[in-house]
Amino acid sequence: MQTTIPIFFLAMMGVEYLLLIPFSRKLKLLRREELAIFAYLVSSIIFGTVSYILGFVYKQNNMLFNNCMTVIQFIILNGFFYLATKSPVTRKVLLVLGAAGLAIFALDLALWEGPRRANSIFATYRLLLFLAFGIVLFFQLLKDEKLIEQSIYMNSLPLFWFNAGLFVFLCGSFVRTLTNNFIQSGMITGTYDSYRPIMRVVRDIVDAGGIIQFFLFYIGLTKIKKAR
Amino acid sequence: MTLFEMILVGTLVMLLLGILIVVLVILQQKQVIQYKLKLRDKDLEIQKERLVAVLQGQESERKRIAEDLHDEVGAQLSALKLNLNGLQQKADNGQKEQIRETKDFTDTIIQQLRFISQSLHPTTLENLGLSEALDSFSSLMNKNKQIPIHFRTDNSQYKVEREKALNIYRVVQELINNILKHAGASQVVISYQSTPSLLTLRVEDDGNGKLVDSLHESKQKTGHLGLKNIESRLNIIGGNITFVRNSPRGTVAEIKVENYQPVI
Repeated sequence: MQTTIPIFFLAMMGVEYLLLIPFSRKLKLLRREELAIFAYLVSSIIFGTVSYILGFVYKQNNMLFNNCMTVIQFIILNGFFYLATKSPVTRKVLLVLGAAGLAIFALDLALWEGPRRANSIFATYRLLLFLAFGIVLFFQLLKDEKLIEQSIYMNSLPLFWFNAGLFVFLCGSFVRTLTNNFIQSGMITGTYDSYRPIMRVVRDIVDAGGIIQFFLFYIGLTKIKKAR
Repeated sequence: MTLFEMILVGTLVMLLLGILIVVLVILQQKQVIQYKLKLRDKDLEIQKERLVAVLQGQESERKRIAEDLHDEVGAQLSALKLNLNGLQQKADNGQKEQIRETKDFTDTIIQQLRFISQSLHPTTLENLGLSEALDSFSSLMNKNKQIPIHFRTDNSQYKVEREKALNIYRVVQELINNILKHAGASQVVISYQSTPSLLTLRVEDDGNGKLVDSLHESKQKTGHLGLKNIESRLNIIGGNITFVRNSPRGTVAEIKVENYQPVI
């Protein structure tokens, strides 16, 4: 089976590595929710690099590692939304749904899909949860009276750009995450071999979303000095 | 369309949707802020209109009082003086001295009355213009107060719009009052300069320089109505004032008003 070099994926990884430099330089200025984004960035780098080495270089099944990293990122992003959200009720809901997510992950890994397959159920749950909380965070910023009274545009806030980056990436990867397991089954059995080019395009679009995400993170990072 | 093509389209649509939502969120918040800013501008405009109405009311009331003082009380005092003249001629030597003192006292009252009347409503401002009105004001103050006030002008003949002239005149009046009350100055110099587009007035004193500090305090606190009044009046006519320390001592207040000439 011939494998093509995932250019967009490698470009995304390159951007991630580059982003580490400005993030590390501003580490002392970061608030707790921004530190969560930094942790997410580091986890993404580990995720991408190890996953690439396992999958593309050694041609091994990297699904167990992917699933584990997905749950680690789930915890990190849960922390990000928890710290960024102001409403105590929303925070409680986030904690409860976070705990439910961990339970779903355990069930998905142990019973439903197994360690050698993409855990689509948990990944989709994670995605829907963070999309919803991304919208909640947008509303929080939109309705922030302090911002409106002081005529502060939300695009001057790092939090907005971090949330925007996550939101764009989560939107872009929604359909693929939802169908990941199903497609994977077809690919393994060879049923969908003729559709590989289309799926490569899908993968590239998702990775392009990832590149956009990190660019938006960078914009957010540039706003940190101005905001402090 | 196959399932895979649908996944492709779905992924693309979702990515674009995500970007679109982010853009819409930014635009929505910008719109809200711009709307609020517009409301605030309108509010400021209404406040300005109210302030103008209050000041106009104040001016017309001052004018009425000044005219009443001049026409009624002034005329009565002049009649009193004439009566005293008549009495002086008929009176014997002992009473003549007493009547003369009363006449002198009446003269002082008439002079004071003119000063109050001029301060309330400067007729020179309407008849001769701002520069002459300030000159006349300085002369009047010199007659009545201890501190000499010198007026210097570049003799430019540019006309000043009536409302602006009145507000500038009031600002200078307020500044001089402040200097007399708080600065402990031994002299004041008013300089008048004008170009076709800019009118500059400098009020310099050699006092304790406390006016600079009191301006900074008044910006932070409520109170010190005089300085607030100065700012409000200049705000209405689109002028500004700066206070700096004079060398070697005292304060320099510089008033600048652009486009001060009447529109023909």
